[in-house]
Amino acid sequence: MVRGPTATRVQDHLFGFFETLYRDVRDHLVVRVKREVRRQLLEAQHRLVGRSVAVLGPPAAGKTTLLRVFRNPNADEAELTAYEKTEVSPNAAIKVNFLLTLEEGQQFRFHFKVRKNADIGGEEYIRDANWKEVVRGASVVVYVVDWQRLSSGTDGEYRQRTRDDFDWILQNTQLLEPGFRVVLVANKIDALCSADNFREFRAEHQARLGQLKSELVRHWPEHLQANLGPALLLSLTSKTLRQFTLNALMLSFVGTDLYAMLRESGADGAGSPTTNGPLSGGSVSGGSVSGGLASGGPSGGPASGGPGPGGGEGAA
Amino acid sequence: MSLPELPALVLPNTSNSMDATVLLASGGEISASEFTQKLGSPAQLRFMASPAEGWSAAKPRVTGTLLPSGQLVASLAFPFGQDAHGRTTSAAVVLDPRREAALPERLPLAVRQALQRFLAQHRQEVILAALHGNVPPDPKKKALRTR
Repeated sequence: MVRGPTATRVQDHLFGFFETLYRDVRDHLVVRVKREVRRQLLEAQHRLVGRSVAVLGPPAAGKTTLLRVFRNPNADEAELTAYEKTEVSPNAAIKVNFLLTLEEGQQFRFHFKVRKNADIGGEEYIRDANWKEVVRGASVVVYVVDWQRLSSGTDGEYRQRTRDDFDWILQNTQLLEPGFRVVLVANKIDALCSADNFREFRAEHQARLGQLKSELVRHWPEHLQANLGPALLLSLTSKTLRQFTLNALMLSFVGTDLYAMLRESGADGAGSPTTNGPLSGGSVSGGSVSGGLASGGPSGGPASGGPGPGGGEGAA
Repeated sequence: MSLPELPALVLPNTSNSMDATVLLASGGEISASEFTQKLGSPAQLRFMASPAEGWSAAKPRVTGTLLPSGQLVASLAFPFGQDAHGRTTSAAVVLDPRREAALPERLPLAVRQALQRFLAQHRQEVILAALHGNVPPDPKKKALRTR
């Protein structure tokens, strides 16, 4: 049977119609997702207005440096190295202005102001005397450790100190704001890797970080495990590695729903963020952590291209 | 818990160990955490002083407290040395400002002399500062300034 010119025209017409319809629906959905993402970002910013972020950790883990990077995410290395050891220094409000990458090629200006913040030392006597005041009313507790020291496996005292600090945080959760998040940050990875081998390094070390988090989570009651956010690898002093890792930390402030939505939608057709998006790769969730970013596992930073082992899946 | 023997020296935490170390007048060493616990964990005591705020051995940062036992304790903190990351560290002498006592010999002679001069000239102000806690310290406070 030979098709006539009319049948071909109808077929072409129908094909064109469905193609246009498909494109319109897809565009409509993407626009809706983007609008929703923006709305949630604004909500996240609103949530952080007037709230406090407590940055805790052992001595020389990078707490002061992190506060400096919050103030200026583009700070030079020299600005971050010349200072003195900290005891307790109340700081002026921090205005964070960060170009946050949610998905490949999808950046949003994420800015919020943290009015109450204090730079606090990590010595045990300072923890005993002053940490309570710092965590009182905090919405986010960022716990920073020196990953070079912790991952060496030879410094038992340092590992024990980390466990003790998480016990301390647990004992003081009543001082925190409802819906608080505790983010474990493994800092100073620039001492162990470079931008060239970051992906290989991340593949190996995020599993180890996951083990550490599982170990810490085991000491927490189930009803509080949802408050434990992701565990992230971080580099602050290396300006290049900062671009790989800081995005994930900022994302951990944004909240749960945004990440879950992005994961489901695969907005912009960029593929599943669990495998190749900027939200994948560097984060590790351990134990039976549920909810929060840990359930999907943001991390890695905008430059993370390769699939991240674990990809934020529950490691326990 | 018995009160630690004063004057004590809070050594600068140059190795970034988990806690600072305190050298007691008796010669023994304990952690700063243990030391403050023995004193009743007074939150007012500070053992660090920022050089950016103008503190030095000749003009130490004075904080203190009156313990429930009636003992007055003052901490004279000053920048001293650097840690493994090149950051300025601090040392502190913790003493009862109402009593004359020899300063810890572990301190370099010049530092000891500077602190002794400061105490000789400002003992009353140190006592007052300790009584009032002086937290947060006010670097502009004229009473604590050496001319």
